[in-house]
Parts: sequence; structure tokens; C-alpha cells
Amino acid sequence: MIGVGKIKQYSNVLDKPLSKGKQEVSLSAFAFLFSELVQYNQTQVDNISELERRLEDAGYAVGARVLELLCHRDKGNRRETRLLGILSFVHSTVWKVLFGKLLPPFTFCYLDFGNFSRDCLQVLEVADSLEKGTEHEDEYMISEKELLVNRFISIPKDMGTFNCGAFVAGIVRGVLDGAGFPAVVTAHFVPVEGQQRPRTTILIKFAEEFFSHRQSKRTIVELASFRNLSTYLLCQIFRILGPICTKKRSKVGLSGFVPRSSDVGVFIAPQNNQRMGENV
Amino acid sequence: MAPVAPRSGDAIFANVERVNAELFTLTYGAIVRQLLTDLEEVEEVNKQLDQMGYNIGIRLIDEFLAKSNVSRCVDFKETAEVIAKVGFKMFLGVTASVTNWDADGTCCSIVLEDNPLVDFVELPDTCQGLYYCNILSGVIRGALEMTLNASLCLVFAKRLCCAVNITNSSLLSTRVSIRYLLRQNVVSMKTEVTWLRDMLRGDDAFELQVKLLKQVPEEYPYKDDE
Repeated sequence: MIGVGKIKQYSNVLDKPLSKGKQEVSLSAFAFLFSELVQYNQTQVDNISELERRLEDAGYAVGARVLELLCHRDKGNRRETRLLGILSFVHSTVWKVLFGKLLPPFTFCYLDFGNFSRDCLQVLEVADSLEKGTEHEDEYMISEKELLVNRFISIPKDMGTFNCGAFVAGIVRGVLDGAGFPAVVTAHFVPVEGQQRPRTTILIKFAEEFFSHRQSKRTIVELASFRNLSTYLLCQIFRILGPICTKKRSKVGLSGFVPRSSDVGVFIAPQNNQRMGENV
Repeated sequence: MAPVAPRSGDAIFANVERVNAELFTLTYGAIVRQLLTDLEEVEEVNKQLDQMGYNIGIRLIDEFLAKSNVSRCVDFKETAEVIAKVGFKMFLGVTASVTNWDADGTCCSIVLEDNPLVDFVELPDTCQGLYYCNILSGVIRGALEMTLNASLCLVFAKRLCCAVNITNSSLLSTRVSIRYLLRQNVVSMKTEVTWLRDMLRGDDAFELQVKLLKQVPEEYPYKDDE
């Protein structure tokens, strides 16, 4: 039981068993801590955009670690390699674990992936909380009535459009970046008629390379939980077999992440100057 | 108003809104990392963490007193017990224990075996002098120093809530209650909080030494005959 009895000492933090993620602290403790983060950063900057950037950087660090933690614990060392998959991961798993709430289940908008993948075309209704931007193909939005971090914060008028949700935007960016989907993520207030406090929208704009690239013949092979020696051998095999499988002369790149001391995950993707799932 | 019995830490924790401890842990880690990048000197980071904790503590005590209905503590011993059993449980969800009282009763150790701030954390060789959880020492220091002010505010707030119109008699009764409170020796405590044991440095638990330096009873601000 947590808090009772002595904890066994581990020499290496990586050997310590991972907690189940059920431990909780009070909301006010987190709110106090977050307010100190914002106040400290206010003393270090001269303008609003710099403050947002610093909050986002703090969130980025959190996001990168959250990705590793959740992939290992909840998804059995598998990581999403498709765009919809990672968005779904952020929208449901990450949000539920971090903020404790389930956003309404989303259905996809009509998506024009182009050459990305024909079988992803699904004609559906626009979702409440995960939406695709209508002007640009590469924009997605997660919207929430009130972000957890903004609950006890009021923005003075002279700070304009500053949003402490930049921290959450940073978390999302960290998760996406770690999973190999570089994106620019920002948080915006969206005033809603009839409500006093505006809704917050996290706007995700994916990098150019995802949408300008012809990717129909892309193959992505994902393997997980291998020991080091066998990983090496497997990588060698795939390096040889890769061009044969994809019928292209493409370099097979590989990268691995190390969630625990003895497990190695390997992600292999054809190297059209694009590495998916790069980590470490 | 009839005095309400103080609530146990578990009961309060079950009633407050809670968030995932990992978000808390990771946010704290991000703060420490930012401080290390900005300040670079480990001693400076320790001081800054303590200062941040102090800022939190002076506001945290309000919430603590409001939620826990702790009326007053007779002496420092009781105060330390209340911090360990109720305070830590209410905010961090873990229970601490109080040990190692010295002969005067002015110095004790609060021992934490489980600390949500340090999950996943390992100190690198470059940061060996860092007290990673120094924010906790600041929180305790700030909270104890502001005890008196917080109690006064609470009394005012309760009176204002009860009174429909603030008439002279209500104001008088408010002053009477403050006087009563002061005569009960609610004090502001200046303390010094240091780390004795730190799990990140290889010890088996976290131990904070809380040493009472001074108890400062506030002067009653109004004359009696006003």
C-alpha cells in the first residue's frame, strides 16, 4: 500500500517497478505548483510570446515522458505510427491519464488524405472535441470547455491573448514529436455565446512533410520488446530485406527507444528522408 | 457557531478534487529542469525552490485551515503532528510520520517514505548537491509563518458569512472573537526546515527536520474600548 511501510531500495531508478498510475494528489497541490511555474517564468521574460514559449517548453518535456510512459504501460510497448492513431492516442489515452477526463468520443471528419492511405477515408460527422480544420488539410483541433491548468487562472486584460494552456499545447507537441509527428501546437481561447468563460482549443498543425509527400507505398514495420542482440540481428535482416519488400531502393532506417533497461523497441521505416517513430 | 471537529486527512483527501500524480510529478520535474537550465548553480536552484515553496505555503495554509477545521494547536508538537498526518495527506495523498523530538519539543523530524515528487527521478552526477524536494521545506516554512494571518482571515470570513447585515454589533463580535483567538495564543511560527535524509541521495526515506526558531504572537490591532 502506498505510504505504508518501507519502500525497497533500488540502486538504479530504471529497476524500480513502474507504478500503476493510480496515485493521486489534490488538485490544489497541482494548481499551486502550476501557478509557481507561471510566476517564475513571468520573472524571466519580457513579453507574452516568450512566456508562452517557455511554458510550452516545460510542457514539451512532460509530453515526451508521458509518451514513453503510456506506450510502455498501457499499450504494451507499441506506439502509433499512423496519424489518426496518434491523434486518437492523444485525444483519449493521454487526456484521460493526465487530466482524468474522457473527452467525448470522436468520430472523424471527412479526411482528404490524398495519397496517404485510401483505406482511411471515412465519411463521418464532425466531432465535438477532435476536429479537423476546414481551411487547411494539416490542422486538427482538440477543444475543451476548460483546461485543468486554467481553472484557477484569470488573465489580466493587458496580457491580451495569452493562454496558460500553452503548457498543455507543449505536452501535446511533446507527445507528437516523440512519436515522430512533428507539429506546431498552440492553445487558443474561443469565446462561446452564452458562456462566460471561453472554450479552449488546442490547435495542431502538422509539419509540411506529411502532406506533401506521396506515401502510398510506405511500409512501416513495428517490432517491440526485443533484447539487444536479437534486435541487432533483426535490423540486419531488415536492412537486407527492406528494399525487396518495398520494391524500391530505399534505405531502411532504424531507431529504437529504451523504455526499460532491458527492453528495446525497434521501429523500422523506409527512409524517404523521413523517419517515423524516431526516438531516444 | 459550534466548533466543528477536525477532519482526518483521509476524509478530506477523499473529498477534494484530485489529479493524476504523474502529471504533478512531471510538472515538478519540468520546473526543476527549467531552474537548472536558467540558474545553473545547484545552490541557487535550492534557494529558488525554497522560495517557490514559501510562496505556495503562505497561500496553502488558508486552504488547509479551511478544509481541515483544525481550530488551534496547543503547542508545536501538535502542530507537527497535524502537518504530517493531515497536511501531507490532504495535498499529496501520502502520510508522513513525526519522530525524533528533542528535549525542548522545538525540533522534530518529519519522515516521508513515499513522495510523489520523486517518481521516475534520478539525480545525475552534475547535480549531486541538489535538494530535489526543497519545495516541500519552503511550503512548511511558509505555512507555519502565516498560520496566524490565515486563522484571522478565516474567522472574518466565517463571521461575514453568518451576518446578513454587518452592523456594529457584528463588528464588535468579530473583534471579540479575534481577541479570544489571540488569548488562545494562536501564533505565527518562524521555523527552519532542513533535509536530513534524501532518497535521491541513497538514503532510505525522506526526512525533514523542522526546528522552531520563534513563536511570534501578533499584537491585537484594535484598542479594547473602541
